[in-house]
Amino acid sequence: MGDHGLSLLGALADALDRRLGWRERRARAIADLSRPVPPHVGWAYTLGSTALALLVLQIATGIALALHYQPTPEAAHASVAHIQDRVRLGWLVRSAHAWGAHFLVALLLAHAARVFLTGGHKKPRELTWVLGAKLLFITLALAFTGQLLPWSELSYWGAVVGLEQVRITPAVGPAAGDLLAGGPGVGPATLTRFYVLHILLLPALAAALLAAHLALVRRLGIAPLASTAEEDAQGHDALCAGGDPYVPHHILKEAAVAIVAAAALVTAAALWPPELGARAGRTTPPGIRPEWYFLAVYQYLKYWPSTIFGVPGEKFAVCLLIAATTAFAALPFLDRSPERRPARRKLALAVAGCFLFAWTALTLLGSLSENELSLFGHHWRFDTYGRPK
Amino acid sequence: MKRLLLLAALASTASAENRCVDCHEPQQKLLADSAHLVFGCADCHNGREEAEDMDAAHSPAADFVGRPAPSDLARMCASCHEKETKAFELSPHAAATRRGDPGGATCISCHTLAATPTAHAIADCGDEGAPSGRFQVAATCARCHSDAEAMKRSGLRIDQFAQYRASAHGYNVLEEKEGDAATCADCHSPHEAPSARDPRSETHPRNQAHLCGACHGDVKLMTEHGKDPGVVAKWQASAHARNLDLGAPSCAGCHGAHYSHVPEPAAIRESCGRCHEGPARELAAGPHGPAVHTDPATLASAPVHCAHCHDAHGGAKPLPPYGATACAACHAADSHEIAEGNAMSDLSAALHTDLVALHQKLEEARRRGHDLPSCRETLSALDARTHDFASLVHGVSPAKCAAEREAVGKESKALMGRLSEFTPGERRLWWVPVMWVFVFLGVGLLFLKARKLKSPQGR
Repeated sequence: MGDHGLSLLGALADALDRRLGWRERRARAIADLSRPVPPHVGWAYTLGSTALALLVLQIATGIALALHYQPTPEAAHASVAHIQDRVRLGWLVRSAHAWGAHFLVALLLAHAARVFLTGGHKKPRELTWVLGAKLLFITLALAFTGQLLPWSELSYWGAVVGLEQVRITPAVGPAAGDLLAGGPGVGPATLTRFYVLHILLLPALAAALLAAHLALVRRLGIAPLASTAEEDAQGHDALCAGGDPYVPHHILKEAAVAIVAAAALVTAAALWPPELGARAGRTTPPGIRPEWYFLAVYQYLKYWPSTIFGVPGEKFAVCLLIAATTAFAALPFLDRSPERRPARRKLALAVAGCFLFAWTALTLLGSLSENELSLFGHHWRFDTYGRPK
Repeated sequence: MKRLLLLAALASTASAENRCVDCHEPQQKLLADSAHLVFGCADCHNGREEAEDMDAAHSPAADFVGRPAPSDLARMCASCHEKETKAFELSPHAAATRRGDPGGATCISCHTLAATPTAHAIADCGDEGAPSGRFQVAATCARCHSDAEAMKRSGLRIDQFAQYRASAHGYNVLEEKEGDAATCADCHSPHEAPSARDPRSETHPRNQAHLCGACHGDVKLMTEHGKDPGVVAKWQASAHARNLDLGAPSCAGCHGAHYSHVPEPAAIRESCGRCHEGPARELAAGPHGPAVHTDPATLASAPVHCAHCHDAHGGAKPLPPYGATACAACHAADSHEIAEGNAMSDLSAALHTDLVALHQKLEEARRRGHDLPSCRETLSALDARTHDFASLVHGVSPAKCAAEREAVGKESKALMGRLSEFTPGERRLWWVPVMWVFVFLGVGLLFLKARKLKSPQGR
């Protein structure tokens, strides 16, 4: 491009600036993003932005898939098979989208754990946490609704089991189940509804929540490793003194982690593409179990007695689950101590440790239940409760 | 001696207490000569044995039963012979009696010594001369089963005894009094006597190998009789055993049930050809059709038949190369027949290899979510043609086989091409490590940039 071309671009930029004032806006944004982050902020603080990068990748791969996908029971499975085998690089896009869900959930869980550990959910960032928790739930809902779309045996029965768990919710469960499924069972209406939820409603909701979440993060900044009282007294900027500016220092770290995560995702997608499996509706395949992030809940529901005081035990289980989920979203209002430093929050960390242990144990038991394990020459078979037979 | 003592005891009892003998002396005599000599009349008929008055003796108040109905006989015998009568109640014999068929067998039909069945002349089963004894049972069964009038009601054939008498089993039992050979009750459990169509029956095709194997799998017994004790085991491992549900023959399918015999060589082609129509047709049309094989040991001549190449009981195909395993039994090692046999063997193996690969490819496509009904249809047709190729081999025409192989091979190749579109092979993943090289380079550059920013000049 010669001088003439450059001058043409400059003229265009000037013209747009006169109309939009973008140069001033850019300068303000750079000044805002160049504010320093607290001095303790390191690699662990890149998880949120990495999740954001992968979310963008999910949107891109999702749009590519939607160009070929047909959301009817007759055509869905064949269209995914078509994407996988006939569309150029379709297999990689589909695999990256499927793996992206796993990566995204894992990153969001790790991000939430980091925020909790460093007290980032505390005043004045309660709303940031609440929005983030809702984003996590929406991501799980996106994963659940997306799982049905290939209309394979496993995806079909995964949806059947998932909707059963929705239906046992007291009071609203049956109505919510019918609303989601479009009828008493999983059928054409369910596929249409899940598709609309997956590509339209949930992404729109997620986008709105994400915008609010990011705006709050920029407005309130990253929480310093100090008590809320100290932050109130000294101000956020004072506690960030000595820290690196977000742009360009911290953003370089975020970019590096995002690039590695994206490369890891593409590698996993290339090396272990998920099998499509047979089309739904012929047989019930053995070993139906939800994805790893729902396994703990799936297993937890098994241990409840069939009735408690004449009421189905599952209803109590679901009530407790809803209470726990609500408590997670409302954590800033429950964990009200002003301290953020982990060493001074032993009780909160102990409670979180117990929760993490229970969640891990249930996930492990869920993966073993009705399964077999061969290790060091020994072979075990496990019953539905995960006990060796 | 024991029998005499018991008879004496009964006689003394009868003279002292049993007044039935006053009127029923013939029955009493029959009873005294029977296996039931220890029983009194009231044991079966109730009533009052000691009563001098006939009305008192036959009193309904004492539950007197005069001539029991045939359908009641089994119940009466059950008071002592519970196990046998329970089995009998399940039998077609009992069913016929229950529905009022006058030809329906009861206990006394088989267990009476008298020419006219009567319950007073019950024979001791241990007696060789008893109707149910080893050498008499066939004739006992034949009393009804060779009676056209009786069998007409049940729709059963009446030539079973005639066939049995003509069989090796029948000859050995009836003529040679050979105790080892099978008689009716050895194959048809005597009391339950289920139909061969009943899956519980020993004679049902599913159970025949077990039944016949009791003797024909007995190494000691078969060795004594100069027979191969391995035939049953060979059949059990055969394709016939695996495909019984599809109508493949069990023992009786080839050897007959009552006229159990080794099939005549001339009849083997016809016997196998009833199911293996294609091979039999091609064999008859080919050079082996009119050929005669002479056994070098016995010099007996017979048309070339199936068992010359296939094991009679194993039924397995000759192992490839056919020239070496099948043809060499009759043809010289350096003959063109051997070479042609080997060539056909290679063609057959190539067809099967193609077919296996196609099935694997179709299954892979199915796993990947492609149903491909038209491909499945084509593959079914190729399956059938490959199966028919085995028939062609029996015609021993290498040129015909080669032409068919070429035609099927072309279709297989076309189908493989179509299936390959839905089952991409090993993906080229060379770009994955290359991508990581660029990732490391990019991240390295970011680190350098970060260091530069941290340096005093950068700040």
